[in-house]
Amino acid sequence: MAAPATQQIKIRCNDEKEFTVDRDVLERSVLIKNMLEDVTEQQDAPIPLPNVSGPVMAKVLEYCTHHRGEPLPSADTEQSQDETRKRTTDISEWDQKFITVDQEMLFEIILAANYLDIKSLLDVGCKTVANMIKGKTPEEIRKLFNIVNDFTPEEEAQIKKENEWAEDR
Amino acid sequence: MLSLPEDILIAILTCLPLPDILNLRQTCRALHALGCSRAVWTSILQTEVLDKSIPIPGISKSAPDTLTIEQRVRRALRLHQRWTSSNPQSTAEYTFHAGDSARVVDLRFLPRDNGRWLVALAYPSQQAPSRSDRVFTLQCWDLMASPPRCIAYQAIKEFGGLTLNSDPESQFILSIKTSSVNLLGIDFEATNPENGFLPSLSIDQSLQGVYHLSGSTILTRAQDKVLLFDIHNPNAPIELASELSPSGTAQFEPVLDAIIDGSLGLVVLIKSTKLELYALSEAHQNNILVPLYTHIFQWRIDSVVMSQQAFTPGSSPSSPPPINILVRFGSLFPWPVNALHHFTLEPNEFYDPTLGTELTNYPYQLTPTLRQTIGSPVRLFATSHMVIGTYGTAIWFDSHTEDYFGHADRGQRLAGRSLRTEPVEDEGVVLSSAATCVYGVREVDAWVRLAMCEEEGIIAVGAADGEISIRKYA
Repeated sequence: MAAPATQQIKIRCNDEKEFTVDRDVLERSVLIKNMLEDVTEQQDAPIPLPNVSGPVMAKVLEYCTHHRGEPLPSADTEQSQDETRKRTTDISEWDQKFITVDQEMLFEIILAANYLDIKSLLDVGCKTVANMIKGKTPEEIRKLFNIVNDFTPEEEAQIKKENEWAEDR
Repeated sequence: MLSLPEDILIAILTCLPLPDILNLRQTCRALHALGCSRAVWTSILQTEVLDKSIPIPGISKSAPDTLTIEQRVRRALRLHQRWTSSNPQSTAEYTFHAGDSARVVDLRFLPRDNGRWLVALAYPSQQAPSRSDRVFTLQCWDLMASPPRCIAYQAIKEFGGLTLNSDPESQFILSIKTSSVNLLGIDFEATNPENGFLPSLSIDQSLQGVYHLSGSTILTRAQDKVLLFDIHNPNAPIELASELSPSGTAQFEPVLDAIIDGSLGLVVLIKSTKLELYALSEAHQNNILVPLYTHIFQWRIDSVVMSQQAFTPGSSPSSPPPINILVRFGSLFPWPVNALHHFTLEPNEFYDPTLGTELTNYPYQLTPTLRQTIGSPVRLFATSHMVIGTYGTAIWFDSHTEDYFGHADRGQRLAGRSLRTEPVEDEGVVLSSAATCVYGVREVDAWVRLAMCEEEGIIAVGAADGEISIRKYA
């Protein structure tokens, strides 16, 4: 039995790289989903995505293909609110493997997920960054993200003091 | 990382536990500003304090609110940490006297103004043996003053019981039973303490005592009946009539503790052998109400306290708050059993709040569930007392002092435990947490009463020599 033919959609990234993808895969992106719904007629021209580069889009599509068919979380269901309330950083095994990339790519994926409005991917990205920060000292965090310490020594002492209250927890 | 837009950075911080946020904001100015932002702290307040239903001390409903969200979180977590540690360290301790050679026989915080007002009842130890000649003194202390100041004072003859109004808004702050039942207000500004208690209403019906006062609803004893009425209309009482015992007799049992929940239309009574649930909506035929349900305890109760747990983490707002019950059973012998039993009345998931409590719609599962048994030895004739708060903290004193002073025939321990039942994820089992906290021990027996202001982390202990000691943990 043949599967019903799925509609193929073309997209073009900011580096002119083009992808042809099944519509249901692309619709993981709420941005693209809304765009497609606005367009009633079949169009041959690719959808331009000026904020995403080809290599990043390839990663994003890998994610969307893996998760195709899963129900999309609606913007403000109770469940998604519960989830954000829990302060958990649990990530599923596949997602964890998927998101094991260099820092630059990680931030690119987060930005793309934010732009394309793929909430679950954005969550995975944010949780991954949070996991990198967890348990580290301020100095270790600076080193990890190349953050320049721009406090004056006085400010630094003051801030250290204001954060001391939670240390004996 | 700093190249990420602010809303994404906030989303990242929302995934982080508090200590990591504090570390992150020590790295540079931009992240410091973000780590101080209102959005981040609103989320922390929600997840770390409100969702866990930890009280925030120093938040007054009446006074203008000058605390930042971060300060609230700090205060709440600091108090919680001290309050629930196995060896809580107080931040302040002081004592004062409720009168020379007087015994503190009752002690309670008024449920208003952040634990500022402590009501004490003292009984001079050298007094006439005849009951009717005994003079008690009713006092209200301002704990904000240093040293604490008595703002209201009244001599009470023919004392027969003191009840505080559970409604902090009511003008009838307390009721005192003498030859009649008197409802009193308090003039908190009074210059002369003699005029501090304001007589506001007197009920002349022959009542033997007051069990509970909630707003203008009063639960009383008249002859061998338990009567519920509005204080403005004492001539239209509803009788809460126990079921007859299997032998057909109905021996009167005084009420040991009561909860009157007007919004649920429910009254819960605990007597020395049973727990009764009454639905206020059920037919007022002859104004007699019989229990919807009676639970008979296995043993006779020596002492008991119960409280609705005001905030339950993770519960739906429409479900009724669980009721914590802490029981010390009596034994066949003249001393009570060396254990406290924690029962709960759990919300009934099928309860429909639009119908109110009735025969087929109970807010609670009917049988109390035994959650835990806490070792709490008491010696023969030793005094013990316990209190329980709406956040689920129970505090009591007992004779468990062997760990501190070895074997002795005297000594008291002031101990506590969080009775809060929290839904445990995945397994759906409800467990209660935490080991017993020991707030203090002493080598001689002197403590007789205790009071707690849970929101502010204050414990007051009254002694047989009239001393009142205050311990603060906020």
